[in-house]
Amino acid sequence: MNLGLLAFFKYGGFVLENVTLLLGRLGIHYQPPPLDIVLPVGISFYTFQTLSYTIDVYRRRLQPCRSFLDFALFVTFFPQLVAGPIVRAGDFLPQTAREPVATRAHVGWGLSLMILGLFEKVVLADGLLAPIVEAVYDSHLTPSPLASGTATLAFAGQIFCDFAGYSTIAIGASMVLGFWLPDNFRFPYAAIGFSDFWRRWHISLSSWLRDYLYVSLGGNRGGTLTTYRNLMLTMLLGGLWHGASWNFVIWGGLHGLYLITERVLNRVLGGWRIWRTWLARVALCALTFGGVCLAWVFFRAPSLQRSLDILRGLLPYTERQVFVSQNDVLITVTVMAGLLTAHWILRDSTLEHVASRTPVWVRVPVLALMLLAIFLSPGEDRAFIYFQF
Amino acid sequence: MVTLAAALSLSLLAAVELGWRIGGARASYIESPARWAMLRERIERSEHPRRTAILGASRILFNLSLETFSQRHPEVPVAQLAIAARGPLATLEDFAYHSRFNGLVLLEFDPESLLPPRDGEQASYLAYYKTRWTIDQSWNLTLASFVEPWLVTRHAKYGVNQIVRNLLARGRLPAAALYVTVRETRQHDADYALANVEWIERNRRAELASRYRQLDSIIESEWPRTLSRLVSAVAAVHARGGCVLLVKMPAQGSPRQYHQRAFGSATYWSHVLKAVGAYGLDLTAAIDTLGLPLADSMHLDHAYQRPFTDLLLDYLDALAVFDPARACHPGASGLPLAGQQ
Repeated sequence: MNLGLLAFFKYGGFVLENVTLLLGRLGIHYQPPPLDIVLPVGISFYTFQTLSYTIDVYRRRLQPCRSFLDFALFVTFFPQLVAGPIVRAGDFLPQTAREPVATRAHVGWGLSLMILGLFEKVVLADGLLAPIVEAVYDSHLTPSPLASGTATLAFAGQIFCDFAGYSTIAIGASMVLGFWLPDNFRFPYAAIGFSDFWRRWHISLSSWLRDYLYVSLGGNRGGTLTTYRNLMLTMLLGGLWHGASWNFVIWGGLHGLYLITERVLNRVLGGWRIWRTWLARVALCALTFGGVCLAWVFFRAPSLQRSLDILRGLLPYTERQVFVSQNDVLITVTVMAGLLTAHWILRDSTLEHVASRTPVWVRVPVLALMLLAIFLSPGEDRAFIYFQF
Repeated sequence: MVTLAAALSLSLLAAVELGWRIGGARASYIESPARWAMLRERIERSEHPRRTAILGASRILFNLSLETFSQRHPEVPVAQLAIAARGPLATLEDFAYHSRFNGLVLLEFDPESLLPPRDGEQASYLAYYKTRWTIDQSWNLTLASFVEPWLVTRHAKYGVNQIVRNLLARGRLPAAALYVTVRETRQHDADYALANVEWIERNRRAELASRYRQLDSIIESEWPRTLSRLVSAVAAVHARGGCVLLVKMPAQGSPRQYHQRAFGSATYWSHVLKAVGAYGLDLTAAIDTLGLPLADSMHLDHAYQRPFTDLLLDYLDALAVFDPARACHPGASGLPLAGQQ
């Protein structure tokens, strides 16, 4: 039932379009009326939440919820309703059994997280990076290698600041209301390898896919080839979860390919000592980031053709039509250098840990400057990227 | 701790605001698709038979005083929907085919801005109006409208993005003076005493040279199609009882020369008026007669908006276009095509 709703609302048009195309190739000209389906807000997120509840109850890992109101709160909890994190019933429902408690410390930390999330979204993602990305990706012309590279790097920053920003606001807002939500990001651009990346990026989705899809398919219990098949299927479906488009399928497929390649290489070369050196770790991190950025091209481009244009733009012999200014390059490099350095330094830590070790006389001005920057960042109103999913 | 941070950020904000004001900055409403959408919706909902929508690019946007318009015709709702540097054909077609609008459209007529690729330049504003203009956006705009006329720091020119870009490019903060301020009605007031006119004209010359060089190759192939789109759109508005008036805005110096060379009056004005069956007002000569200077060869300083708007309204009154009992386009009552006034 859950998946049926998701399939109809999210993939109905996509399936119809591709079936029509396929029939056309077979010589059958069928032109169905346009479905014009309006996608319910947050359907991908709450479908997965309710699915996890059903499966956990079926697997007897969770007692069925006896209160309709508690269940309704679990499904529609507003801070994370539209873009996650995807909360498991086992994490959330027990919290409804008691009075929500928001201590002074909870409220203070929750508000701090909301300021940080807003700063990431409003100042970094929307204010500094989005215009650079849009100028290249939303154009119809072939970009120069510098424009392609800069815009893709900028998008890597934009999507992180946008999505992690939303999650941070959601976690902070929940905390202020006396609820706890799980972390959704753990400094993902400091990942060494793609399996590490998926332990750090959109954690609530990747762990959901692991527990309810990958493991259900057999996980790594059926031999090497079966494991690779399961990995690829999981990532393809993970890509399709984001949207009904071949671009997302390719994005997921690329990550599936990365994970399989990593496993193969790990088997062959994993034992070498050199991987433990600092330099090798940095190189592997850079390689991972490069692979992630390459996949982001398909995630961001509005069509498959545009993805190929962007990739073609990276090649030296194409005719150039879209350029970026020196300022755009400088802004992108500065923001991304700061972001990547922060991720690398904090990769084995948490925000709470860092905050608890930072003296108040540093935290207060930092928060004040972030608030000031938020206020000083008027501009176009851009919705969170993950709202569309 | 958060309270302390909030207090500190408010103090810093006050200091920044004061700093900009001392430097000569002025607060202004902010031009945005949301403000445009609000006016677009308002004019769509109005029931007045001669409600007026102004479409075009920067010249009809900067040169007209809506205040004067409302003083002369307080009963006529008017929406300034021109968008600087963007050709208006997409908006006209939206009025023609996706709306029940049957009032008066004042369309700035500049063939160059109607041809591809400029024909779709207003599409992003339209897309916002169609898909994103919702009640929450309306509330956001209402809230913003309370703050914007009071706080200089709400303007994007003084935002982090511009500060960072100016620091990177020139090693200094953006210039404090804002030479175009916007009113709640989207009336744009340009104070050219605060502008670097030489820089504006130099850039425009370069832009026009590049644009008109490309035009040579597309005018011949694209103009018939553009004219046909214009004729159809105007006919659709006229068929509903509405009316489109073409207004040729003045230019001087090199913009005028470029325009005259590429778009001869016989083909691109008189012929167009006949083809679309609309009244047209050519204000090029009139502005010379009145002696109104175009500060940057294309736009009037806000000090001259009032006489210019009076002049335009005198022409419109002479055509009686605001009288619902009278036909406001020559084709409606079998009148001979009046053409150029």
